[in-house]
Amino acid sequence: MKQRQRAKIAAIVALALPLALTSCGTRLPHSAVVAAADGGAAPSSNSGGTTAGGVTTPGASTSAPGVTTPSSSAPTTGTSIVPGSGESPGKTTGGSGAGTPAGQQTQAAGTSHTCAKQGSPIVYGQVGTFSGIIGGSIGSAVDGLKIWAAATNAVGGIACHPVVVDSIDDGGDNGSAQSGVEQLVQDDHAVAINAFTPITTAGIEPYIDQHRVPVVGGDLLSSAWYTDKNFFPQGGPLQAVLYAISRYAVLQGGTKYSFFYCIEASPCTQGENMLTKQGIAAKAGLHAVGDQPISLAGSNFTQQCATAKSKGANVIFIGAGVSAVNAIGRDCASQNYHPIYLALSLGVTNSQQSDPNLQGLAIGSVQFPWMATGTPALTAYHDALARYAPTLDDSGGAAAGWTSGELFERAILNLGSAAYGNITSADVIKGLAMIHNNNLGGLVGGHLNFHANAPATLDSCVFVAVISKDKWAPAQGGRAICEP
Amino acid sequence: MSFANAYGLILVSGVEVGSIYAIAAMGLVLTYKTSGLFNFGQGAVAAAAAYVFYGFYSPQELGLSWTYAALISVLIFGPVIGLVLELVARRLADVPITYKIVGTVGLLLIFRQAGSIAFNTDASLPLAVYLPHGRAFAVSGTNVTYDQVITVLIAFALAVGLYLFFRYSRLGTGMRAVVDDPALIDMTGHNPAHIRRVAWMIGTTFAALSGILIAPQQGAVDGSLLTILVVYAFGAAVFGYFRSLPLAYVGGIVVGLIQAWVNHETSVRSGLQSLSQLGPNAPFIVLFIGLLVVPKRRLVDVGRQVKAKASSPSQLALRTRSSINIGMFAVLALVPVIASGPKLVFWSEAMSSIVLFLSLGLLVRTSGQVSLCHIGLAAVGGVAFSKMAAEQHLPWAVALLVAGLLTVPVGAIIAIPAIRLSGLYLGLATLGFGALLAQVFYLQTWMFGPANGIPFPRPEGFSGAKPYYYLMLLIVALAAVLVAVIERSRLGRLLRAVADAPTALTVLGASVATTRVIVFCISAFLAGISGALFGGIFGTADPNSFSFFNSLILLAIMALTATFLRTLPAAILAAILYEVVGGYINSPRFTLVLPLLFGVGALTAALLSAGTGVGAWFEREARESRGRARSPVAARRQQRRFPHHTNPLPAIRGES
Repeated sequence: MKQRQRAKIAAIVALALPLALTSCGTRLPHSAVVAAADGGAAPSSNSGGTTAGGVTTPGASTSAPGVTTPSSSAPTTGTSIVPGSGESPGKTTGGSGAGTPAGQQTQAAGTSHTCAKQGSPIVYGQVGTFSGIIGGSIGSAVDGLKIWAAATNAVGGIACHPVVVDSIDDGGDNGSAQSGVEQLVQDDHAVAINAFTPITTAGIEPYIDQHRVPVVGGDLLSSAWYTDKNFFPQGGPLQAVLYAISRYAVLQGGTKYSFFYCIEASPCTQGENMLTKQGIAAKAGLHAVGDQPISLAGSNFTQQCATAKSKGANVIFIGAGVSAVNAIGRDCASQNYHPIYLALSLGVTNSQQSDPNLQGLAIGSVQFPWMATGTPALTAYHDALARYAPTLDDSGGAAAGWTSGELFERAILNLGSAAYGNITSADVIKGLAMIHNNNLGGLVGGHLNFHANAPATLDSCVFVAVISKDKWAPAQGGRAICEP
Repeated sequence: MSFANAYGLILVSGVEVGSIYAIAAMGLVLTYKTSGLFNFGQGAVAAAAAYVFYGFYSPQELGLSWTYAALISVLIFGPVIGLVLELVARRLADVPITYKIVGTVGLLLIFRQAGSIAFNTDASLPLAVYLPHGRAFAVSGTNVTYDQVITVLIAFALAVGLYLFFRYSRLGTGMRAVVDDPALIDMTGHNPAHIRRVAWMIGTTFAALSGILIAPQQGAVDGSLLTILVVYAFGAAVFGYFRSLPLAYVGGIVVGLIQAWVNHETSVRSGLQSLSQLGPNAPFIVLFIGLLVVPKRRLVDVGRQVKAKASSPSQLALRTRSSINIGMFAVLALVPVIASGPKLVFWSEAMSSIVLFLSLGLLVRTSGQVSLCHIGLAAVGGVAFSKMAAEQHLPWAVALLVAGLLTVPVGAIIAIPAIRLSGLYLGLATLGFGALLAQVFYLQTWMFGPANGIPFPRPEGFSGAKPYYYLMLLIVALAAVLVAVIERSRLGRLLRAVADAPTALTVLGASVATTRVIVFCISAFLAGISGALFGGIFGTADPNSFSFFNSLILLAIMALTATFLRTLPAAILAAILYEVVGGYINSPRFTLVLPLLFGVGALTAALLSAGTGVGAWFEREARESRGRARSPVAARRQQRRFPHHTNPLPAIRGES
């Protein structure tokens, strides 16, 4: 009897100890970022439920719960956001519109802002699959948008409106995505939605169309972004990304490719369909030697590597997650096979840059590569990151979130004096429809053209980033590659 | 690639991958043959060990050397988990096979989720190869690395060691005998409990070892991926008829080689490239086909076989039950009024799921069968509906009916293993079938294809969320009536007899095989209807909407609710737990914890089915209540209350 009791106690201790010792409280980077961006408010934002927070009261020295007041002064590089002022140095770029209404606002570059009258908060809702395997790739979009909101509020908000970002995690479930959008619009009064819903766009689209709520920026993987008039993408479609990185591979001497695509997720097979069956790679100058399905649960890709090598492929396109990209690099290297690797930005992280097997790995991105620098718009991004989330593992998701925020801001600023009144979804659509041939100060590869009653028309231009000398770096001198 | 190089490559890839399958399969077979419990959660145990390894090894966590981390996760964590599972297995020894499966599915959910909860994320945790990875030698032009060599050697050494252990040690001989006759073992001076405990400790140590070997090969610690990979080992276990350890090792290697060969053939032969998805799924194909072709006499259930109890008659009168059911529908009809807005979509999903749970209940609860591919049946029905309604432009109701009917042949295919196999092997066969359906057929153009989704039109006048909800409620009511009629009919009695006493049924001249085929077909029909209704909620659906893994969760929830409730209330509560609860509790932590709670619930339900604890109490209460109802006092009281009633005790007759 005593022996049995001892066994039970040992079992419980052994179950509890390793898990307790190794993990409790050690893994909250996402929440920490959001907390930082929210001025230290309780980190509860990235999933499930909404987070009211992230608003700044310009000129005020105190903040309500969840209010962002990183300091009493504006960010050092933060510059004025003047509605209708066109291209301005720093955070806000592009666009045209009416001038600043007299008496509404006084703003000066590099200083705090004062508004004669504080506008009501503008709620920008965000819904997406921020947990699970997909969340591991795009979860940082929450951080990117929160940081944008914090930086924007620190310089007076948008046209004297503080910005509130509410984020909801749909967990990859269509029902949760639909419910989340309804909640954001009906309960939180969001005037626009930011959607990172690579597998749940079907959940939100009917509601969006029925209520005419603009979807401003997001993952851009679903066809709805380019066929639905209520979707306003911050860049070109997946086809453009596939073309750009294929073209980049050709410029690096690539001639033949094999696509390793996962069998578990439909975005993988969609990519294979576009690249090979629709001939996008061929259009860029790459010749297919045979695509190979892989399982995300697979533990060894030696065979796929050797087969591609034997067929003369000098380019491997990987349509799978981060861990599969790493494993493929390892197994191909073990066969002395070092092709040019191409992947989608969702399949990479910063940690890969020091992997000797993945040197030369290239990705495409419709918005700026997260490590790019050299323009005022990019400087504003990096300064905000350093200020509000210095420990964030920067990634493509954060850049996409930030760019979405910039697009949203541009739309409202385009309203001119009307931007100082109450903003509705219809106003946002109106402002978006005024965006023509705008690349948001170089934040996006192509020029954006939106219409009130038609899907977006876009330049299919995409930035490419590559791992070079243990660092991610913009390829092609930071110039985008455009699909003809 | 030359012939020699090609087959050198197949050999290297196949043997390495196969060795990993072999380690997992041997652990599985060891525990099954010594305890009679086939652990569906073996992969989840491997995942839990990998999480422990990550916690001790990762520089972001404790940062110990990999040797210490491996020792802790394999030699401490593994055996201790074995002790725990032996306790569970001992209690599950007295439950019917269906509930054994439910119990281990519960274990799967618990262990799979525990690591995610501990690290507060269900995303992958990056883990690089820690074994030496340099080139060791080459086989026909294919380089072999040290970590591959180590993996192969470990698997081989374990196989040889286990063989010698069972062949020559007294403890090993005891393990072989303990399942057949523990009392006899006891008389020889061995403690059967001790023998089982050691067997479980070895089995889970194998699982832990496979976990820490596989995770770095996958490039990450990921509970879902590890769980699925060890499910591949089920295919390897077929070769040893789930009982032979040496053959399980051989099976692992053979499955690895088959996988490598299919990968090779489909990639080099242009005519076979459309079949390229068969390669990664080779273990599931081996599992399903193996269970179809292996002689029935070889697939013998290990351990004591406990008959499923026929579902007991309701204690309530038909009128009372009807009133309760009508009341439940009235409450469901009020949902759009009470839960209008953002939450209605969860209730709409629940409507579709009620039909699915009714379908599953008919199989599991009424007829004692098992299905681990019910989501796949729903997907088939959904696709059929889309083709009929959106492409053939059939009227909505006709398309719905046709969708259900087109799912029936698929149900009949699943019934083939049901005819010849017992519950465990049926569960395994349906799991393999569901995985194949999801990973091979979903992506074909005649199913979902590579597009973003396929359309699911709603009927005229029901385009709004509320009207469509009420339409689904009507169909739920029709499905509930259909199931109630079946349960009360001769067919229902036959189904209960299939669960309770199939031999007696055969003696009476009824065909057990035909009855099983019929119940699978009816269940498939309802599952197909459920899939069609589900797609209409969003107007579109894609493969992500029908993840095959959710079939395990469905079974776990079904078992939980069916323990306490009867057919319709069990289905309604199960659907609410499955679809609605998570929608109301918006917390990332709760999202992580919910599957674990389902797992705990399933395990509890399985343990209760052993006739101990709360389950026994309910049973006792029911019996006593029946006794009181039959007593002369009760009869007189009934007569006083209903003097003109000719049958004073209608409540104890029939089945809801």
